[in-house]
Formats: sequence, structure tokens, C-alpha cells
Amino acid sequence: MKLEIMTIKEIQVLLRNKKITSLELTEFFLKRIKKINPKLNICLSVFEKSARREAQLADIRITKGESGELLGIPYLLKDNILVKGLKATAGSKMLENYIAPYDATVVQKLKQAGAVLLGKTNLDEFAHGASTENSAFSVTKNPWDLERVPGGSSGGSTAGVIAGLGVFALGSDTGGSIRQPASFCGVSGLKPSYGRVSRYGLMAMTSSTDVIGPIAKTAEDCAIVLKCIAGQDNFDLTSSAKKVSDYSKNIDKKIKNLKIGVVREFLGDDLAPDIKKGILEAISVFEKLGAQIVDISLPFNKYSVPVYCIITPSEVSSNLARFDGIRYGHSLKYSSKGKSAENLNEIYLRNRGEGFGAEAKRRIMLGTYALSSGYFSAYYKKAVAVKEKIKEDFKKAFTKVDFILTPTSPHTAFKIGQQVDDPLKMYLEDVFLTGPSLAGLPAISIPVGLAKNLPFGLQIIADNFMEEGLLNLAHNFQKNTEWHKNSPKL
Amino acid sequence: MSITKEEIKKIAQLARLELNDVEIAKYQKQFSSILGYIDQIKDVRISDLDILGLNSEIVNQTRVDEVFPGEPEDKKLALDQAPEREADQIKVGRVI
Repeated sequence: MKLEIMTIKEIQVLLRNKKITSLELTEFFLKRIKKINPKLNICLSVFEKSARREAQLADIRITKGESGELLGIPYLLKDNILVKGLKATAGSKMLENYIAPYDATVVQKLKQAGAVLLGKTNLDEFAHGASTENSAFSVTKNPWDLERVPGGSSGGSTAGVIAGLGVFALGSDTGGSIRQPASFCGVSGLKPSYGRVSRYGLMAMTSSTDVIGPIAKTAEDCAIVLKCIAGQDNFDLTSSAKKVSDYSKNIDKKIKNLKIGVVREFLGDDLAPDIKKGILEAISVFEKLGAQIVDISLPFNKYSVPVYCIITPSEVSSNLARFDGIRYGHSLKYSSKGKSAENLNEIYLRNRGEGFGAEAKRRIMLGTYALSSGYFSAYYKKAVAVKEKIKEDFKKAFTKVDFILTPTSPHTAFKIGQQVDDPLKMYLEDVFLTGPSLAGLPAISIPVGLAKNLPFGLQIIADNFMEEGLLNLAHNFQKNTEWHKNSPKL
Repeated sequence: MSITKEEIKKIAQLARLELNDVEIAKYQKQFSSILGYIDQIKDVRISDLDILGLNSEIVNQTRVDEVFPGEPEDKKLALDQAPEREADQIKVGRVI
């Protein structure tokens, strides 16, 4: 029984048939974290005591005959999501000792479902990045090659799932932060539609595109987790009132006669040859399953990264303004100082100058610049308008096709340190991913190949709130291929 | 598009970030390349209609601003995060 490579669906059966208890399962993963985490830096914190307690409670519920889909299943949580009474660092020195005073809505829902929280995972500081190198605490290693990055910003969560440190994980995606690391680590990662999952208790980065989503070994597992965490929430008024479907119920449905769009410009020479080949093969799998492939174009997509590079820093500069080191967060001692107004400003400058890392500062500065007087119209206002054009592109495309396929990333995981000094190159990591984020669309990355023993993913994009169909399509691929079953030797 | 050191310093002040000289030089260089890249959006022709940028599907959601009685433990947890405190209050440097 290799628990580390098993899916939620498979472990459910073991729990239901009393082959294993949640406590035994939890002990297994805690032991594995102890063994593997020092090498890979996946978890920033591990909660042995509370995990055991939650597992025991789940076992009691199972004994009483309850059978929830996530009951007793151990998971990992990205460290920018709050759990009452536990540390939430966001990978920042600013919040090194911060204890969350309340539960995020997704955490509440997982608690009610009886899932067992093992630990919290590493990320780029405040989710700013595409490599997890921007964490103030450690660099997470890619389990496939310890000299490479796991992608980011949810790199700890994706590495944790493929390394078998938890059965599933939650991440957050603002412009690719679930999908890009899912591609680099060879797992399935879903960015739900904007508003499908409550953001309450997720540290705000870009409030207009932030979404929490599941990371797991299969699309079917993503469906199970999404069903649990989705839904309207009074504490996040951008959450949608649309009914939550039973995403796994019709996941097996045949995909015959579906129309799938492919953007030929995306399969050009910028793509690594191995990846191009793998993506084309994946497309032919859908064709064999009876789907019809249709060429489409998204002419405004080339502006999605520049638009993202304006909208995101602008919202970041505003959202991170709350970190002043007075109500919470990193602070120098000021009780002995503070005799005048100048000194209060000095406190802000020093607290923020010391507490934020290089990328967070860069984004705050870029945003402050884009929103400042004289530049607002040329940058922010213009970016919001171009964003509407990008949305229109997708809207038009979805009148012709049901889904769109793109590569997730133009390449496999790069080496640690390789592009830390080139922020622009880092932003371009998300060239296929920011478009759906800006348009609020659901998109999943699933593994579709290995190039020199490094995984890479295919992105499937669906129209707004069409997660059910999206997961159905991804599941059909996984039923007919084995890529999602690969895992690294550790 | 290039940006001067003075501009970087001004932005840092507006953003309440203390930067050292090494950081200022680094951001000056990086900003020039990032802004150069971003500037391509200026090529997109946009009508006044697009500038509105408002999606008609979005409807304002409102709710009553209610006060929920919290547990004393919650209050303590929240207040405990402040670096400087006096009883149940958060201490701020003198302003006036």
C-alpha cells in the first residue's frame, strides 16, 4: 500500500472499508514530512498535535457511520490562508510571528468535512512570484530535480502533493500561481472561476483576480475538493450565488462531439520542442476521444502580461498598505521613540522597508507609480480597458468552442537562481495563464508529458462557471493516459 | 522608458518604503525594462466605451453591517498580534 501516491478517491475506499484509520494515515504523512521536508523545504509549519486530534475526531465520525468524501483525508494548506490560532506567514518576514485570529471560509468548510490539516506550505512572499524563491524563509526544491524550482507561487503546495506529503493541497491563483507550479511538479491544479470560492481569510493580493483552488493528483480529486470549498459566502461579497454542482457526479461523461479550440500562435517556436510535441500529442488524445479540434485566435492575449503587470502591482500596492507594523506584523520597537509626527512616518518606512522582501517592494513601487498622479490614465485606466478586450476575445472564442487548450508553461522547471535577477522574465512565465485570470475564467493544468524527466502540463480553459465540463474533459484525458501517475523517486 | 533615481526615491516615499542605495539603483534599472515592456499597451486603440471598463454582468452586492459578538479568546488573539500594547488598546507612536 503506497499511500504517498494514492488519490483521495482511493484512500476513501480504504477508510470506508476500515483498512486504515485516519489517525494511521495522519501518522504516515507526519512521518513522511519529517523525513522529506528538511531536504525539500515544502512545509513552513507542521501541526502534529492538532492533526492527530482532527484525525481522531474523523475516526469517531467514520465509526458512527458517516461517510464524507474528505472525511479523515490529510491535506496541506498554502501559508497565505488563515487558520485560527495557527501561524500564517505568507512567506514574509513581515508576518514571521503572526497568528491568525480567525478561519478562512475554505478552512471552515474543510473542518466541517472532516479533512485533517497537516501543515502549511511555502510560497513566494505574499504569493508574488513564479518560483517560490521569493519566500523569506527557504527555497522549495522541485521533487523531480532538487536543483530546480517547483514553480510558484503555490510551489510548496504542488511540490507537497507530488512528493506525497499530503493527499491534496490548497493553493491560490492570481495570474497562474496554481497552474504554473502544477505544470512544473506534474500535478493537477485547478483555478476556479473568479467568485466560485470565497476569498475570506485569503491574504489579499490582487482582489480582482485572486482565487483559492485545489491541487491534487487527478482532476477527479480536484472535483471532490472544489465541491467542498465552493459556494457563496456572506464574508466575501464577490463570491457567486451560482449553484455549486456535484463536480464529480458526471465526471465520467463521454466527450464526443465537444468542440475544443487551439490557438496556433501559442504553439510556435517559443515553446521548447519536447513540450510542443507533448502538447500536440495531448490534443490528438482528445481528438481520438471524439472531440472536434477547431483553430481559434485570441489576438489580445499578447497584452495580457503587460496588463497584468499594471493591474496586479496597483492592487498589491493598495492591499499591502495595511502592513504598517502597528496593529500586527514586523515592527521595530517604537515605544521609546515617537516624539513627533516625523517619527510616525519613520516607523512606517522602517517597518515596511525591513519587513518586505525585494519582489513585494518592487510590486508595491510599480503599483504606486502606475496609480500616481499623471500616470493613472496612461497605465491603470488603460490596462483596465485592455482587460475588457482580453475578456471579449474569450467571449467570442466561446461562441465557437466549448473549451480552449494551451500549454501551461513554455518550458519545464528552471534551475534555482537562474532568473532571480530578471523580474520581467519571471512575469513572462505566466504568458498563457494571466489571460484566463484577467477574464475570471476557470482553468486547470494537468500533466501531459515528461521532458528529460521533468513534467509539463496542458492548460484547459472553460467559459465562466463551467468547472463541471472542464473537470469532465480533464478526467477523460486522465482515464486514457498515464501521465498523472508519474511521480519522482525520493 | 527610463526613470530617474529621484523618481524612484519619490515613489518609495509615497509607498512608505525605506530603500538603501543599492536597492534604489537596482529598481531604477529594473523599472526601466519593465516599463519599456508595459508600454506596448499604448499601441492598443481603445474607444471611450471600453474605457468605462464596466462589465454589465456585475451587480453590486450589499449586506447589513452587523456586529457579531466575538469570544473573549478571539479578541485576545487579535490584540496579541500588535507589537506594542497597553491593556486592551494598541499603542501608536505619538502623532501630534
